[in-house]
Amino acid sequence: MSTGDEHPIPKVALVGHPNVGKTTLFNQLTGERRKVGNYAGVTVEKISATIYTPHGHQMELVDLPGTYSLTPSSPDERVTRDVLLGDLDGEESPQLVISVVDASSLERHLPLTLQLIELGLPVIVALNQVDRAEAKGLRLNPQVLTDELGVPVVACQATSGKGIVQLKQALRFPLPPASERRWKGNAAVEHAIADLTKQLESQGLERPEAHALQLLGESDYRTQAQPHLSRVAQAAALDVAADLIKQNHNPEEEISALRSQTIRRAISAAAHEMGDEGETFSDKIDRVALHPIGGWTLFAAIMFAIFWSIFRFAEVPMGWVEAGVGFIKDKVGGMLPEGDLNSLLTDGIIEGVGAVVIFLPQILLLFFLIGLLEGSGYMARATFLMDRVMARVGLSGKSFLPLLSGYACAIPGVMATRSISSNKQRLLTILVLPWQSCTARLPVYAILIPLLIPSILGQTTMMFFIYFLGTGTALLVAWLLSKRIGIGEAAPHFLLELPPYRLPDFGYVFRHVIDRGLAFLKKAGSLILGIVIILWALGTYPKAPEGESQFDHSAMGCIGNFLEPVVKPLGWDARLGTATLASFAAREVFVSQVAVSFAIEEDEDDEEAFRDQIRSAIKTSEKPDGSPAYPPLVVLSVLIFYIYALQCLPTTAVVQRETKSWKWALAQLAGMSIFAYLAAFIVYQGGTFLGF
Amino acid sequence: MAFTTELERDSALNLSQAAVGCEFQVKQLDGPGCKQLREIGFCEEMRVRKVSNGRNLVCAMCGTRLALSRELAEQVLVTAV
Amino acid sequence: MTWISQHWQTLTALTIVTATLVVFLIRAIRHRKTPGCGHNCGCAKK
Repeated sequence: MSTGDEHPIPKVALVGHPNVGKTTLFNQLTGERRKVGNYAGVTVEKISATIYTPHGHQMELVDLPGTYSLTPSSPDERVTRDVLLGDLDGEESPQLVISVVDASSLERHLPLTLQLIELGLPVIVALNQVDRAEAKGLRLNPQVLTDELGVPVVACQATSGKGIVQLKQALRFPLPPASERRWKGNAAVEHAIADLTKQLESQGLERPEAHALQLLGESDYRTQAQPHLSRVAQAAALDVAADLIKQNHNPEEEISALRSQTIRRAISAAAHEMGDEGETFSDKIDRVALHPIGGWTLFAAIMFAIFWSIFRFAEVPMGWVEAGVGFIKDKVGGMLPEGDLNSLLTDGIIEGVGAVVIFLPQILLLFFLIGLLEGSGYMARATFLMDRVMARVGLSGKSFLPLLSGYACAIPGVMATRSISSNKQRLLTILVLPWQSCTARLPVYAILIPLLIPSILGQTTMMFFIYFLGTGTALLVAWLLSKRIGIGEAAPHFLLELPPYRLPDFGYVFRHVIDRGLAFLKKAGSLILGIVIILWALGTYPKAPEGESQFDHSAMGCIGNFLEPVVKPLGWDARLGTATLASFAAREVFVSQVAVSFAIEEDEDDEEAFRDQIRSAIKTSEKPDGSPAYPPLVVLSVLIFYIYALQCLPTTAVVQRETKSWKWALAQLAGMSIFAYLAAFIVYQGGTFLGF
Repeated sequence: MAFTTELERDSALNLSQAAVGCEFQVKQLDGPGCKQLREIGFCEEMRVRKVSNGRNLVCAMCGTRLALSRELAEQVLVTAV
Repeated sequence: MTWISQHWQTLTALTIVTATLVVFLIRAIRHRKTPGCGHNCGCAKK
């Protein structure tokens, strides 16, 4: 297999609308090998893979984020535009672009194709979903389309692998030449384009004509500051555009109209429509799914099914993780004699990391179910339904998916907000997301709730109420904040494509789930590993002399005593204060800290017995005067604190990355901590006052 | 063939007012959101069928369903077919 | 020598702890030094 040359490996980019089947095509072309990386300076994933053409040449295939046009309306789409123009640092523009279009919807997809052709890059059109188009009675002639567009058109059906070989063959060397712009405007417009191109070229801007067309075709690109475009270039564009307007020509409208004309001509030549578009199967389902009453019922049922599944089905694998952790702990512990290193490894590291890994089953399961919803097309309907509620509190329907993900773990939820176009709505969603009760809080709830309510039914109700409280507060605060943040920003309009219902691509869903799981493990896991080591050190040193409580003597105990006056108003003592402080790093730590402070040994084989021990220690603890140290009211105040506190440094780190602002990340941390403190304070003092 | 007179435009039907279940043809996109509309595929001469009403309405076009807010729909001027 | 062989576990543990602290400090400083790209590149409040 010769790669041939001294030439660098050519880059081929897949570009197309979000729901067009780009990723399925990517997988077909790459045999499902892919690398996930990052673009410099932005938090968008870069998905790429190496492929070999039938002639043995090596190429790098990149799956760019889906976009409807080169006018971006979200950070993802901006990356696609910038990569194609060659403006993104560290990324050359591709040598070839494969424009993936949906054969049954050419009018909607070809505008992007035209824009890609105008970039001056070689383009191949992958006419996807041909089988579906034919099933709908549409007959297409790829050869005619090739003639009309001036670029090779390959018909394919990615889901069945049809046309893939032909597509690969089209990637032969030498690469097809760049096509030309397919439309010509009137004299004034053409003159403006030529003029601006010349100016940009003299400024040393790469791809001057491509940039000129973008600048004239999109007023935001001219007027708003762009990280990758110089002010000089924009000034030139503004001048040229102003001239055109003075001559009574609106550049955006005219260019748009010219593109539409070209497309219409191409389609009428290449496509023959047969039969009418009646109500499809998807429409029938949507009669219920989008119905005000039926839709909400279906939605509630699906949500209930999801949560029920998670709690039911995650138990078994969670048991495996526990058993696994216990096994490793025993093995490692047995290899070394008693001593500090042994303790660090077993009680510290293995315990701590195990506490993170145990959530993996639930997180994976939730993402799997979300992936199914997305893949089947239902998620768009859910977003549609939720938009009403979300818009009332200043969020977008697209906030729904991130908020839902927050029930598993806030980190992927925050990352999922990238699809929200409005900056203000995106920021609001990120800020309130941690109040979605995540899985990390569950161990704490599992200890505390039974102390408050003995009956199983009562406990389940309480859990439900807790979730409700978290989400309710999140929405309420979003509403309050929306009045004070970003006022004056134009209200974004809701615009969403509802793809037809289809069977989810399970391969894609599985891969998605594994990616998310690995991301969680890497980000959360590495930070928690470090924290656990430090916590272990704080608890082990200084060493207590024989007979005295190690906890009280350790650095951790000292900090606790120091904290006591701060947490007293909440009804807590040093032990609870320290455990809570430690769990600011990771909530799961609360349980082990409390256990350590009571000198209870964790029993790996019986988690329930371990919890019972902790609970009875809490129940029977007495103050010097004989009264219970932790009456139900105190337990409640701890519970309330945990519902509201943001105790997850990895989340803060991700928020900072996504908002590019330490100010917001730290403000969120401080704000939620204060809120939690006040809530616990009110509950405890109020309850005491009322005589509980 | 967009509207030529002010009168025509003012008395035109917009997608938000259009009747559910009927087919329409887009005549003109008029308003600040027309850029967004064009990108997702709306253009003059296109056939649209209105599927449902509400705060966000649903229409069918070129084989796909689109949901859009009422404000956006008011910027799509149509005639009945 | 015998002191070390008696206390090697403690020493190793402490080394690991110190290394962890150092890693954290380095990461914190590095994050401060690369404050993102200023304005209009994501969703800082406009």
